[in-house]
Amino acid sequence: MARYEGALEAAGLEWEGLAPQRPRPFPQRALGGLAWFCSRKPLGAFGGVLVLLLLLMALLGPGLRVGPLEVPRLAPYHYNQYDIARAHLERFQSPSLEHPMGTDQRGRDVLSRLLYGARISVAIGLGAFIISTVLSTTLTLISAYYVRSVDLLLQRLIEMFNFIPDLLIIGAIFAIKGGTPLTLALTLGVLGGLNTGRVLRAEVIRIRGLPYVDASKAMGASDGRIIFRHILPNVMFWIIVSATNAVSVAIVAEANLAVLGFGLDPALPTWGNMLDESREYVRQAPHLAIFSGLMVAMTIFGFRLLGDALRDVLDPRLHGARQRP
Amino acid sequence: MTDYFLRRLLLLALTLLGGSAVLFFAMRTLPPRDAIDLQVPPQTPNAEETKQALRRQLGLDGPLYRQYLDWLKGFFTGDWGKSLHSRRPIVQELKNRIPVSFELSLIGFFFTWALSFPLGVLCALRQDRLPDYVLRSLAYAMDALPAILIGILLLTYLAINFGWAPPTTFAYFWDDPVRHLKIMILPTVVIAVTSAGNLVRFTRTFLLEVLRQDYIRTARAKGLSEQVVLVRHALRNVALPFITVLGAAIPGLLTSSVIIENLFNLPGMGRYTFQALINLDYPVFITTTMFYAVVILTSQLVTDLTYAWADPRVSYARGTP
Repeated sequence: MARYEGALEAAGLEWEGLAPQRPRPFPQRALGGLAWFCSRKPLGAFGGVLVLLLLLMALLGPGLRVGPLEVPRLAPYHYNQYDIARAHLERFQSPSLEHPMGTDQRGRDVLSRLLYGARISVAIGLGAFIISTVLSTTLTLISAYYVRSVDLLLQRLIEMFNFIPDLLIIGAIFAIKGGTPLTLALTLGVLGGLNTGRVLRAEVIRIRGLPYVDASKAMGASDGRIIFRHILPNVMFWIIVSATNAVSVAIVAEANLAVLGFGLDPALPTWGNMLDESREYVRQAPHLAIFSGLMVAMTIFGFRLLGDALRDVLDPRLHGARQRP
Repeated sequence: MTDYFLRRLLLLALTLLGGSAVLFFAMRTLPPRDAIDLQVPPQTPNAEETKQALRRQLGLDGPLYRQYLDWLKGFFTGDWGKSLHSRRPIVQELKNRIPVSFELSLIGFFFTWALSFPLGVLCALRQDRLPDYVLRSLAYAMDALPAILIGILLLTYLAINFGWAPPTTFAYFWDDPVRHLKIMILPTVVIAVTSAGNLVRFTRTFLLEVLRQDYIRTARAKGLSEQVVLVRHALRNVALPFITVLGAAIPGLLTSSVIIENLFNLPGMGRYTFQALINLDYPVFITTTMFYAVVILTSQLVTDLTYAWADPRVSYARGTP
C-alpha cells in the first residue's frame, strides 16, 4: 500500500480505501438524521414543530423554577387573575393587543389560561404514556415470551375490559373516586397499556417465530439477550408511536369528560373545561370556543402528523418502502 | 366455518359472563355511596331503616352472588331491574332511548362511509398531486377538530347566518318524521365529519397497496380500461381491509355518539348512562354498559364472519385462530 501513497499524493488524492471509517460524532449524526427526516417527511416535520411548540408552552407558559434558575412565565397574566369590581366591563372582550385571545366570562385572559392548561394536558398525557409503556412492555414481554398460562389468563382479562368503551370506564372511576388529573393519568395509562399490550403481544409472538430468533437460540443466547437485543428493538417503534398518541388521547378524553359532566376540578384551566364553559357563551363570545377548540385541534393535528411520519420511518416492515418515491 | 362460528360464539358468551361478573361486583362493592344515600338525607329520622327498606324494595339486599345471579337472569329475560333514581323499571326508560342511539350511530356510520370512501379513492388515484395533498390535510384536520367545537360552531353559525336552528324539543320518528329528521341531521353530520378523516387515510393506503399488486399490472397489460381495472380489480380488494377497519370503528362510533347526544340534548342511551353516573345510579350503569358490551362484541363477531365470507383465502379451519 505504501508504494502507491506517494503516487496518490502526487495526484492530489487521498487514500481512504482501507482506513477504518471513523463513525461521525453523535451530534452530527443526529442532525443528519433530522435533516433526512425533514426532507423525507415534511408534513411530519411540521407536526414535530407544532409538538415542540406545545411542549415549550407547557414548560415555559406558567413559568419555571429549577433550583436557583427561575424563568419568568410566558403567560401575560395568572390563569385566575381578574378584577371582581370590573369583571362586568372586562368580560367577553374580543382579541386585542392587551388580550391576544380576548377575555372570558369573568374577564380573565384566555391566552394565559390556555398556556396554563397546556401544562396540565401535557402532564396528564406524559404520565399516561409512562404508565402505559411500562405496563404494556412488561406485560407483553412476560406473557408473550414466557409462560403460556400467564398469557392465557391475562389475555382473557384484557378482553373483558376491552369490550367496554374506555369512556364508560373512566366515567365510572370518576364517579366513584372523583376526577383529579392523577386519576385521569392513571386510568388512561392502564387502559392504554392494555391496548398497546395487545398489539405488542401479537408482534412479539410473530417475531419470536422468525428464523433469526431460532438462530440466536441455537447459538446459546440467553432469554434476556434475545428479548433485549432481538425482540425489543423490533417493537420499539410501536412504543414511540404510542407516545405520540398519549397526549392527544389525554386531551380528547379530558374534553369529552368535561362535556359529559365529569370534567376535572372546574377551577383548573384545562382545555376541556374551557371548551365546555364556552358552550354557554357562544353567542356573545364565539372566540372562547374557537381559541380553545383550535388549541386542542392544533395539538392533535401536530401529534398525528408526527406519529404517522415516525411510524413510516421507524416501522422495520416498511423499510423496503422507504426508498420508493 | 360453522365450527369456527360456534367456537367464537362460545368464547363471546364466556367473555360476556366473566366481564359482567367483574363489572357487577366492582360496581356494587367499590362505590362508597349510591343514589339511595343521596335521596335519604342523614338528618331524617330512622335514616338507616328507610334506606334498608328502599334497598329491599329495589332488590338490593341479600348476598351479592344471589343478586348477581338474579340480575343475570333478568338481563336475558328482559327484566333489567329498577333505577335507583327514578325507581322505574330500566327497560321502560331505555325502550325509547335505544332507537335514538342506534339511529344516530347507524346514520352516522353511513355518512362516514359515504364521505370517506370516495375521498380516499380520489386521494389514491391522484397520489402526491394537488387533490391528494389538499384532501389528506383536510382529513388530518377533520380528525383533529374536536366534535364539541364543530357542533358549537355549526349550531351558532346556522342560527346567526341562516336563521335556522333545529327544533328544541325532541320528537320521535313515529310521532313527527319531519321534525325528527331536522333534529337528527346535524348530529349525524358532526359524527361523519369527525370520524371520516381516519377512514380517508386508511382507504388511500389500502388502495395504493392494491394498485401496486401484480394482478393490477396484468389487468392493465390486458388492455382493460382504467375504469374497469379500478372497479373490478382494485376496489373489490380494498373492500376487505375496509371491512376490518369499519368493524374496529364501531366502539369509537358508540363513544362519539355518547358525546353527540350530550352536545345536542338527544334522549339517547349514552346520555342516560352518564346521567345515571351523575346520580350514582349504579344498577342503570351496569345494565347499559352490558348492553354496549353485547353490541360491541356482536359487531366484532359479525365483522370477522363478514371477512371470512368475503375473502376466499381466509379459512377458519381448526387450528387457525
